[in-house]
Amino acid sequence: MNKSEVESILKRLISEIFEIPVDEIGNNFDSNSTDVWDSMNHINLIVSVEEEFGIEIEEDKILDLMSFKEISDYIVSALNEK
Amino acid sequence: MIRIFTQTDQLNFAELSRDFNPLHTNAEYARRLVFGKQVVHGIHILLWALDEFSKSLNSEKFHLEKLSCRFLKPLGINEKVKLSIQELEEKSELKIDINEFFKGTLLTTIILSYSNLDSEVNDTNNFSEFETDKKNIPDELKFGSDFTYLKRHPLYLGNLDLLSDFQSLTNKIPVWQVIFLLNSTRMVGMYCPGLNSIFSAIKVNFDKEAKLSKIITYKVKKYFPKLSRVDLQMDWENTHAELITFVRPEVSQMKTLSEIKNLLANKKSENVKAVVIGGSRGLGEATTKLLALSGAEVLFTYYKGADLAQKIESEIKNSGGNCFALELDINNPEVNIERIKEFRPTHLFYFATPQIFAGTKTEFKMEIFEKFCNYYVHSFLNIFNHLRQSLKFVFYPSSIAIEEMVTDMKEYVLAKSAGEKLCDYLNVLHPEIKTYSPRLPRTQTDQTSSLIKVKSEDPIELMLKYLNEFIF
Repeated sequence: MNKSEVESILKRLISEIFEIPVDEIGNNFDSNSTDVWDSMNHINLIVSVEEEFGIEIEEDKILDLMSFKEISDYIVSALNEK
Repeated sequence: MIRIFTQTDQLNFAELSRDFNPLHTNAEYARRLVFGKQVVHGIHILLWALDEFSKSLNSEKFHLEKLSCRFLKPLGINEKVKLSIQELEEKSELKIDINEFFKGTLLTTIILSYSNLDSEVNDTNNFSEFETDKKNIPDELKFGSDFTYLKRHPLYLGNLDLLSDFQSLTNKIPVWQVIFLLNSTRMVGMYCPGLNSIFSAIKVNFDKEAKLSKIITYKVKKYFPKLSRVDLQMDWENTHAELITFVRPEVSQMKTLSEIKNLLANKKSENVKAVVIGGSRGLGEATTKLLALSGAEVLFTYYKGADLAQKIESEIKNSGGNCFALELDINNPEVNIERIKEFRPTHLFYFATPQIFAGTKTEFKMEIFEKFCNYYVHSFLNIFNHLRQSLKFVFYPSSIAIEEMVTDMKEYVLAKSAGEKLCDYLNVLHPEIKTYSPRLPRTQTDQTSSLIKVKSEDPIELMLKYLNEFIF
């Protein structure tokens, strides 16, 4: 899966979890962009990412992944290591 | 449609659903949990939304087919919400959003599909055969990494007279569909995850007809230990639901008095007469205990939670400390301020605070800023002025949040910054009184508990460090 495919799927997941239209999710989207991105919905996003991409996010990285870019970079790197 | 859920609404719904989880029913307990407030049952919001939708359908009878509901943010008691219904492209599909009235934050979202019923709604089930659940204390489960749960629970009914709160809905859809939803909140709040649960989402595929079985099968589908999330499945004949829940952090536990005494070996504060404003919780409670157990005479104030404050007072006294608790509303201190003045405190510790995570990320809310200013500037200065004749020392806790630019704490940070500057001026205007306003790190208190483990300081150890510097 290439980077652009990862980003497209990730935008869909973010849209579903935070109830935001996909076209409002730019590459700068982060946890400051919506009030719905709180700890509970952050966990929901992490679970969706793990299930969708078949990867496991390390526990000590969970709080570092607070933006679209950080999460997409992590996914691409995890998929490359598979 | 606009609504405020009151305490009476809450207690009625708890009777109806038999979900007596204290997050929903006990204001005093709930304010010490992760949301910092008593929260409306999510299924209560859902049934209200369905009831409102049913009113808009004139007299048509209908049947729920599929339902997906997410509780994105908690709704507190006495908070105003607004409901909006939007028809989707598919016929008989709709989306209902419930937003916080003032901030506009989306709290709950529902997607629903339904079909019209040709015949009258006529449940053939005889509900009188079903029992009422006597359980009113939630289970407190232990969640090890291999946690699992599978039970066949009897279907219980609450006080069905209270279904009149959803009269339009129960006249238009089969009552068993409402009962199924009521049982979901009872399962989550009372059984699994039970006491420490948060109900986050539910998806239901309803059967066309239901001959009610008396048994609901309820099981963990997947448990995510590192994320505190528990996914559950609830099956009732051919009606199936998937539930997303969380295990919330327990009420933060402070070190015991004997542990504190051990830490205080050889520490003395015998000539100190301290008043601790907001001294029954968090850092204030830690300060009260450290000072009282090291020989100071301590008057500590509380705003809510008289029982908790009295408990702290008697425990400290039983351990040989000298303290007493006094109710004080810092926005209206005149009621008890004379008693504090008569005490002639030499030291003032000011921990009074409202809920600190009150803002939104994208907008600056003036009313929230003014509330923080009331606590951190106006009321602090007012109390300082009342007590300054006897004071020698003031401790005003600021926060490292000032340096971190946390977007949903803008109003808090600005008000605390003003408070810091006020302390600088007090040092100039009243050099005989030493006023300190250190920026404290995040500590393990009710206010800072979170579903995701965040590094934070122990409140006793943190305040001991400052008292070592300034008092002992």
